[in-house]
Amino acid sequence: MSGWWRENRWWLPALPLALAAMGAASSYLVHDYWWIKEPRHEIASADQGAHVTVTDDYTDHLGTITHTFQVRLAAVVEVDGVTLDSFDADGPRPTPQGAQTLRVHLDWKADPDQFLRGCTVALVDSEGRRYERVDVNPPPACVPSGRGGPEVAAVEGDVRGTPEGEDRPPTWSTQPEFLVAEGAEITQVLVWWQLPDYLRLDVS
Amino acid sequence: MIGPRALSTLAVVATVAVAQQFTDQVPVVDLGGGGPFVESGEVGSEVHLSYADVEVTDVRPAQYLAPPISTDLARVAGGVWMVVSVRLSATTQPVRIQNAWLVDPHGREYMASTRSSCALNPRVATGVVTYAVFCFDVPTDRLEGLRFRIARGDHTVGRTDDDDLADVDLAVSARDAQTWADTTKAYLAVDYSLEPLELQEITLTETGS
Amino acid sequence: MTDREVVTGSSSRRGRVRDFVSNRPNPQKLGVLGAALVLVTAPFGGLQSVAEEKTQPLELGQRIDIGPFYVTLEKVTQVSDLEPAVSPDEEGTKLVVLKVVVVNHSDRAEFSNLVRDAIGADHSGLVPWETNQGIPLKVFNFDDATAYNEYINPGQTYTLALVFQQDPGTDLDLVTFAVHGYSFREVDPGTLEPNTWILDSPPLAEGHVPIEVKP
Repeated sequence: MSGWWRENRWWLPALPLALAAMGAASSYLVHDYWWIKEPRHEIASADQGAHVTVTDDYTDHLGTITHTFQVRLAAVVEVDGVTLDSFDADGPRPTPQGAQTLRVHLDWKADPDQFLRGCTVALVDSEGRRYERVDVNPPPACVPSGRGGPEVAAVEGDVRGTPEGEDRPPTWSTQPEFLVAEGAEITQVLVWWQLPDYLRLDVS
Repeated sequence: MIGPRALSTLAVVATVAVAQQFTDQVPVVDLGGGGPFVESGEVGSEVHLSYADVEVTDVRPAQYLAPPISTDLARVAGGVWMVVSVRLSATTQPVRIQNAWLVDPHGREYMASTRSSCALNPRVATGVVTYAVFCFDVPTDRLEGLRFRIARGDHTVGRTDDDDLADVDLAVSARDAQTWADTTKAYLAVDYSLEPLELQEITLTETGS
Repeated sequence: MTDREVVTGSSSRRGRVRDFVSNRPNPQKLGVLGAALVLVTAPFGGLQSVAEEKTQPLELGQRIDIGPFYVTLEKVTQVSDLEPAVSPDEEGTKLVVLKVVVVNHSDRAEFSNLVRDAIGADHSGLVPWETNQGIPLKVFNFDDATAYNEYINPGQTYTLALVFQQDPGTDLDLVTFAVHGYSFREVDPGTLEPNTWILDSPPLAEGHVPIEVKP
């Protein structure tokens, strides 16, 4: 038997390495079906009240660009009534039983040429539950309504640029609204454009 | 008698033939590895799935379902409409339900109706209740023993495998089945909402010829 | 004593077979090889008979099994308008309505499109619909005049109206219809999509049926 061991003394340790390489080579599905499906890669964080400067990548139809901005979590406030549909002329509805409506105040600063449309803001509570907005026609969470600034090339044929009259001011605020479980203790505000990269703002 | 070469050729052919018989009988294109994890329950009880809590609160039959726009025509059931009211709540993050369907005691499956204007794939919010009403057009002789099933994966392409699925006995007795088959009730169809949904009975007016 | 030629070489049975085979003329060898290859396909279904495809003449009231459904063409009517279900895009264009009873006799829900896509027509004077130009037939539920485009559950029966627009100058005596069937494919080898129906040719039934004209 020692003859066999001697013959294979280099192949045996190479075996686990070869298996690992094989696994890695077939793992593109892990990226497409798991890695990019959730906020898994934290790119920046800050405590409530503190400004944080963030530079993030964004890939559109024409390639990858970076955007740089500054954001501050000013407050998370409970409000009466919840907007389930911004297009509904009747306005906000009474908050359902067993739930509470929270509004997140975010202060932003960025150069007018930075692309910042289309973000997602989510809340995380102490039990690890993640909440997203419930308004079926919500206003933008990260840019001012009607003055969102540059758009990216979302599909083939698009160009990058700012639509007429939609230039963005250098500073602004947004107040995305959330419906969360009554008694939920919100600990984090997450902001992301393209998963898995996200930014975390801690609630104090 | 038969040379070794002929024998091995015959062995290969025989093995492939046997394998062909095997693959004909057994479905081998099954990348999921297993079926769904079924969590059972009954009307009025909450079923806990890894991604959502599900409770069927009401089941009733209807002959007509009217769409939200009052000037549109009401939809008549080919058999009878089974109208199932459900409370849903996502456990850890928002989830979109791809489908709900009914199963009879023989395992036949009845898909939710698009023309009914009831819920098809509601988005369920975290930690709060989403109310949804699903509607199914079922033959009048298939009502007894129907079970309601709901899952986040697309059932029509096998995406419910290896994932939780709620299965609720609608408790339709033989007696119910008989009376429900003859119902003439008409309701306003509802979809899904964060506010409680109530089924409103309506009167229809005949139009045209 | 008689002189006998002593045959050298193989006297074993295997040897004699080998000699026999090698002495056959080449066409015969190829023929036997071909026959053997065909026989080898037997365990794989190679010898199953191909289904005889014969198109029946189309008749009203005749129930046709197209695969997922039984389909019965009950009546064909030409009208000017089919309110409240649908009206022609332009006044003057006629509508031809095929009244079809559809029964899902299987144990699975199947899409109603399969009925729509199984029907063909010739010399129909077809005028495409303005919206959805690629689909000549619009489908409605006969019993409530609403558009019908969804799963037909197992055991369900519906009476559907399949409607196409027709040039008013069309000679109705020349119009023929065809009803095709489907073959069931458990798994599409290319996409791995399960449970698809593949439209068959030639049609199961084809021919002219009387078209009732209503003002």
